[in-house]
Amino acid sequence: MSSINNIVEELKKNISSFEKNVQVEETGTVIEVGDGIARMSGLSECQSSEMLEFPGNTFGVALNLEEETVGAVILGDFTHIKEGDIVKRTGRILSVPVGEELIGRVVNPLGQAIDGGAPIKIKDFYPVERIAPGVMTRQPVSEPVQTGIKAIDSMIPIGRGQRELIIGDRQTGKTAIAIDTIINQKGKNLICVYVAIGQKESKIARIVSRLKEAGAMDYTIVVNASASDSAPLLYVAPYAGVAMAEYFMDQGKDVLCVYDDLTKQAWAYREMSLLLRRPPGREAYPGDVFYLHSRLLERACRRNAEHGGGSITALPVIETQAGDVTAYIPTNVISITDGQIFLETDLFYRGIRPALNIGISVSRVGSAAQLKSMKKVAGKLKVSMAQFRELEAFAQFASDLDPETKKQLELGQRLVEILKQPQYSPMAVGDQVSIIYAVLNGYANEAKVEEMALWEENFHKFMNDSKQTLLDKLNAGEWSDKVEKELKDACAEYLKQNLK
Amino acid sequence: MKKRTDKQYAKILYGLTAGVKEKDLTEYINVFVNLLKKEQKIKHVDKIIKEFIDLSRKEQGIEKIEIITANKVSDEIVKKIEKIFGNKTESTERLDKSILGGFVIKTENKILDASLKTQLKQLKTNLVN
Repeated sequence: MSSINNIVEELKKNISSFEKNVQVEETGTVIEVGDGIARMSGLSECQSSEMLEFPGNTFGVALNLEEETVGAVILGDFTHIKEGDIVKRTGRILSVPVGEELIGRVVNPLGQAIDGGAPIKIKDFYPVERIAPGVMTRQPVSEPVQTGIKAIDSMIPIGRGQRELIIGDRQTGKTAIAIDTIINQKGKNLICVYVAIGQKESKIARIVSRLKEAGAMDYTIVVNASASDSAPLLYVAPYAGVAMAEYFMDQGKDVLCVYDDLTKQAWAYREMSLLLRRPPGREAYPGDVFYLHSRLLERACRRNAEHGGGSITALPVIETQAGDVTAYIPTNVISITDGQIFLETDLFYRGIRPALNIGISVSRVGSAAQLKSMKKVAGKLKVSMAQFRELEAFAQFASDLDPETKKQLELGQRLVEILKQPQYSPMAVGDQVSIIYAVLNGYANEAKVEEMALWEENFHKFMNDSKQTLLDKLNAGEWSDKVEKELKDACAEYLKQNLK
Repeated sequence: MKKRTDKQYAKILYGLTAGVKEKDLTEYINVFVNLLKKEQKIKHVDKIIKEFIDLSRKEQGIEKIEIITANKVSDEIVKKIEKIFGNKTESTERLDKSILGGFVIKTENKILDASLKTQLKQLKTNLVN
């Protein structure tokens, strides 16, 4: 009984301590509404990108501040808003909840749970728009992000704090690379934020269940603005995602941000801008579409220790139409990022998956962060692949080739075979180094090109069963004459065993 | 040339007629109506007049307020409220049972909310958190 009395007492105390305060709110009136855009009179003190409260608990963002009116985009449903409605200022710049509680959840760009779980209660808010860290707070990349994909980790390495673009036509495996990278971060001390912009809900559901299966949701936040959401939500989604990432960076942690994909965000921004009657430019995009992406990707950084450390690695995705990288948005984003991973339909249908075009894919800064063991074998791999590409075109016309050329060609074919990798099967660095080393140094020359997949599988099995200490060394990035000799011996031993 | 808004026409009219003697007024109005005719804005005239009234009120420092209460209040209280907003205040009153008690005052772009309903709402959020 006493507990009831206690509760009543507590309640009474709470109520009596409640102070009345009368609010003076600045308001405006809707004079025009439609297509997710509202124009209001009044709101004379409104700030740029301030949140506005519409009736029915709907929020909007003021984007156009004009002499007589304010133009705003409405986040969410706008069908109940009508002319003459009162709009209140909130005095807050658009911000999203941030915190540990978000990890493992699927949220919308406003940070509300959409995975059917409990509502997320968070006190911390970060503004969606934030100026990127300055020159003095940064340092060059020095730690790698292991994607677990042989072709990328060896030839297009990505460092923590880098911005690496994934570009290609539809259905070439762009998302697959991003998801594999997230899956491979298990136990690697990297928090992942996957921002889905304008994707099908079914695809998101599939990705989330895949991540759950692989145990990757333990360190991942999924921000979803699906194809059925309004353009303003699609536009805000990547900024919301990076704001959530910045919270972790401010605690000195490393974060990986995937924006899948920025083409759709640019479309959403174009739609909004045209409705707000901003003048259209090339391909009907507004004049500041470059700034739209540059200010987002500039927030990816690696901060130095004096400024708290931490990093945000960005993996933006761009979808091209029929391989046209000279369109407006692809050229913009290529010029902003520190390199690109280029995926091609041709390669995809030839069975080379991931369908990387190694010739034009680059990473401008990642090699500084590559592990020593990988760097040693990757250098030779790059040269061999380049020679192979050159010879391949030439060999189509020649009937009989000299043995030297033939050898080069066969090596190239074998390398192409081992760089193939099925989806959702990321590989540890040690395994990658050992297989590339073995093939480059001719240990696979006796195997048929068509049987390389089997050869590789057996090789990994052999290494993992009997050479675990060597793999550990390679995983840690160790490389010396001694390690190389051990690796050589291991390859020879495997060959002997394989021949039996 | 960019189209003029109704507000801009109201400003033109205000500037045109400010300080004009009553007997000359017709002449000036004629000029303005001719302008409207030339720019094919005659059908906007109602809106322009409304804007003009708003504008001249503002220029003369007349504040327009709306007092919303749950029950009818005496004229004395209304006078008191008007005085707070300045000497030249025009007020309209409106009854709204849904605010339960207290009052809400609306000016051109501000809302002063001292209603019981809002305070109960605040109490609720205070208790929940």
